[in-house]
Amino acid sequence: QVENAKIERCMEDNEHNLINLLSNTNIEVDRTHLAQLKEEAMEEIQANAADVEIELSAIEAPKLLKKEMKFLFPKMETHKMNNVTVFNLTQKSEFDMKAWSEAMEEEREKLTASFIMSANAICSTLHRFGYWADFIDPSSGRPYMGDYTNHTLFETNDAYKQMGFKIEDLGCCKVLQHACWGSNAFVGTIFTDAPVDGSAVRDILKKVTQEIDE
Amino acid sequence: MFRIGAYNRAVGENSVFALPYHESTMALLILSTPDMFDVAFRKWVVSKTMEFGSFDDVAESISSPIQNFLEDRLEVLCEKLQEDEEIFEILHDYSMTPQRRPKILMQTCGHVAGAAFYYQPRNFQEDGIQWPAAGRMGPNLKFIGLSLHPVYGGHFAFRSVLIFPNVLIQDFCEKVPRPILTAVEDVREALEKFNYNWKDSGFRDFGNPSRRYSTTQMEFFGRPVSERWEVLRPWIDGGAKNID
Repeated sequence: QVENAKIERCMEDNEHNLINLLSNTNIEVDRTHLAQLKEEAMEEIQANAADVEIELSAIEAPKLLKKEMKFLFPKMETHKMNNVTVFNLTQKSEFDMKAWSEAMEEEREKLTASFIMSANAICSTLHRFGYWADFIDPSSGRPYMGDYTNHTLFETNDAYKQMGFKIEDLGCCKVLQHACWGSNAFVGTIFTDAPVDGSAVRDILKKVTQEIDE
Repeated sequence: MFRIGAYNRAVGENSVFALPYHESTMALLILSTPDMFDVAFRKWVVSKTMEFGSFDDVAESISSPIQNFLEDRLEVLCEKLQEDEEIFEILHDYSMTPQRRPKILMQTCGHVAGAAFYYQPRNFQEDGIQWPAAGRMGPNLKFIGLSLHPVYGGHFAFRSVLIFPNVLIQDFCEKVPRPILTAVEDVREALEKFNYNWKDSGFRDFGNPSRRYSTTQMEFFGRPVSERWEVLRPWIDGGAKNID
């Protein structure tokens, strides 16, 4: 429920920005319609969220990942940060990610949207604590908030081997394997300079675990 | 060589696999023949062993040797094209979208370009008979089609496609692929060998190819990826001996 409050705050911010943007161009917003869309979106997220098993882990960014971060977030000078923590949010998937199909791609798009919602909420919390936080958009492999990069990070990157996952090489392609869910897993990654044993990170882990247990 | 339009028509103009280029755009399909592995890749492995110091060091550091090797060789080509200021895109057989969809369907390319006939199960059906029999493929695995080359049979692989958006070849006529197998029973047998027993490389011999993979090569591609490097150890430990 606290997660939902965060998502609501995120949507409120977006709404304010949208309204400001539109008012600058003399376009009136239909507030009733907007309120209805918000309600529908929240219902759909909650409905989807109830069905998906998730796991959130936070660890100190391992060596291979720090190497990627230099290219993903060049302006942040991540190699100079005292702390670099990475959250991996795994969603269990109905479809095996090894084999492509239209239905599998549709599921990945839903999981991507869910991840982006959660990641935005987690990053908002970290920002409020005063930390830098950003995440990779699974649909592009690039930072969601940071500047455009030529460099991309996908879940089949070797760095995930150092974060508790296996990367299975099938010969034709690689696939990520989660410890429990195997290749029925979809992982999204969030980066921050908050310390892994600090209160901000512990708070986030606690709240998400509570959500899962509820 | 083929035109993107020919490929797009084959996959369906409105398919997610249709490529976003003008229909007359020139494309080149690159496939590897037996010598790629038995000659060129072998040389590369030997030179990498010298570079890294030992066979075990290379094996430890390079998890996808074939891909690495191909990237090295293609880089030379790409640099030359860039020098000549040619605009091009390159797609590989392993290229995927972020949603893990293959970016290009190589067997379709091979057929459209006239390189290798693509035998698809749906074209060899018989009324009232269910073929292939259900339940023989593992979970999540489909019974798929097979491409056979007139010279190499199944002893080849599709590797990359080069697309040149600024080169339009509207009057080009793609070669028609030669059907190596004509009898329906032969096609079915080949498709079954390919889908059920691909590891023994038996499917590669359909059509009596004149050029084939070496035993080492067939062994290499028949093993799971994690066991492949060991097959190549004799190339280093065997010294100058001629190992097949």
